[in-house]
Amino acid sequence: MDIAHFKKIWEHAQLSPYAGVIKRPDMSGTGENPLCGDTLRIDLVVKNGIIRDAKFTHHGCALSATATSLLLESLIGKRVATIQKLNEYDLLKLIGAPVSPARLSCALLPLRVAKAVQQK
Amino acid sequence: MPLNFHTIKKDFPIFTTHKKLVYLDNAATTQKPSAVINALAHHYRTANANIKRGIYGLSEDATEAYEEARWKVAQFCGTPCARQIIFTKNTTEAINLVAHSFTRAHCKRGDEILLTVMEHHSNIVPWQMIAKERGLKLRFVNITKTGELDMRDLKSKITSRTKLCAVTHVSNVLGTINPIAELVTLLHARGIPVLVDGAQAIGHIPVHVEKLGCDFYVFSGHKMFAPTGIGALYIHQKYLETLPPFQSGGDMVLSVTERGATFQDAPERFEAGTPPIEAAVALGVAADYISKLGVMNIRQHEITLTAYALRKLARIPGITLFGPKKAQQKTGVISFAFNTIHPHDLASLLDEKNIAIRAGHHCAMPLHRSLGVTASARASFSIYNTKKDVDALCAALVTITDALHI
Repeated sequence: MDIAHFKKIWEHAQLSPYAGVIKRPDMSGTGENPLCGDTLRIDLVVKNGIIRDAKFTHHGCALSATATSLLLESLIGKRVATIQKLNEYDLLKLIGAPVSPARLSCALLPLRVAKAVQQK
Repeated sequence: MPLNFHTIKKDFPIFTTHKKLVYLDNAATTQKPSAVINALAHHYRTANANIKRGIYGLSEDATEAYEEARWKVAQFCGTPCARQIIFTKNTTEAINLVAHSFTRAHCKRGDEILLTVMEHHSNIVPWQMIAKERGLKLRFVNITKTGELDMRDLKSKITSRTKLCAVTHVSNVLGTINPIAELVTLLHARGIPVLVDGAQAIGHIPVHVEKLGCDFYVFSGHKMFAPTGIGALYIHQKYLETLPPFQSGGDMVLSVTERGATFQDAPERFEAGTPPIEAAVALGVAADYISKLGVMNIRQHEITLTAYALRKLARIPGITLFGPKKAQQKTGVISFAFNTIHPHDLASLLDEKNIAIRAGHHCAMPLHRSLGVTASARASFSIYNTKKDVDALCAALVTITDALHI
């Protein structure tokens, strides 16, 4: 990834409005990137099957933070069931920057965690 | 006579193909010299046949080349007896072999294996699996704040039930060189055998298994200029004839009936199936290549380069270096954290500048936990690296900081 693309990702990760925790989430999921041990937690507020709010806490790279932020942004207002329909392509499209094969596991971590969210 | 490490790069064709490559991931695998690449092709062209039981000249040639490689590896790591060298797939397989065969012969439920938090996963996970299977207990020796083995902690974790200590010669994250000879003396005095993981030591520092006094010494070929798929296990005479086989199948048996089998002596007893013949031959050539350069010359080069890198990196704002700070105490492995940039992001950015480093936990999660981080960036040197490579890394780090306004 070149520095120009990375700069956008880096800045997004620093300023994401979706970073944080939801005190009483309706659904939550956690996951880990086995390559580097990075961890991610996603909390959702769900009313009548619709995602009303979403936050993430994350210990990892800027790419996975930004990918999570973009994913959550796209999910708010959608049905929970939508998550299961999302695939790799959808998330890479959201990220917009070229993601090399070596970084796929970083970029796709949020998708894996989002698909695993469970009722609290 | 000191070698010219500026011209050595010409021995490695990868740098002709990738002229701008700054390869700083040698702890993961080294590049291959023409001598090794040619040895593979030469073997296929002139001596390719399956080894041992072929009653024809070509098979005898292949067997001779394979056994000569074993002899070369034995000489290279300090034993006159080639039978004490078992060819394995890599370090991991060698450790699995000892974990299975040693514990089967020498351990009872409740016995203990002593490890350290400095170990690569390859020297942790096989023991965890065997411990679960056999009801053994694992104890882990901690490290000091300066990234060295805590000898006091080690002594405190030895019990009457400690049956083996498995320890790395050199940390793949910190570069720390552990005092193996001292450790072996201490442990042998209590009747505890020692397995040494030499993956990061071999080819970088002098390795002489008899002087170290260890019972098992394991390493991979691909980290010492040889192909992947070949590694070696040194077994002390004390265990050579008594350990039971690990994997079983062809080549390791004397006779087989429907009711059972009898096994060959070492080394064949531990080499089931057709081995990577050409890779073993090339490992012998790699050992020759290193011996010709002189391990002490290599060590001196890496000390000079590591001292330079430690000095230069330490001056960059926002860098945290892990492990010993003196080049004499470590090999050319430098792990670091850089500002708040995640190592994976950093490696991607450096890759844009043709600089190859490693990022992540380097298969050493317990060690990273003890350092208080989940991942680190790692630059590691070999004989073809020069101060120019260090300069390129340092300049790139500064450029990244500037671009991100950190």
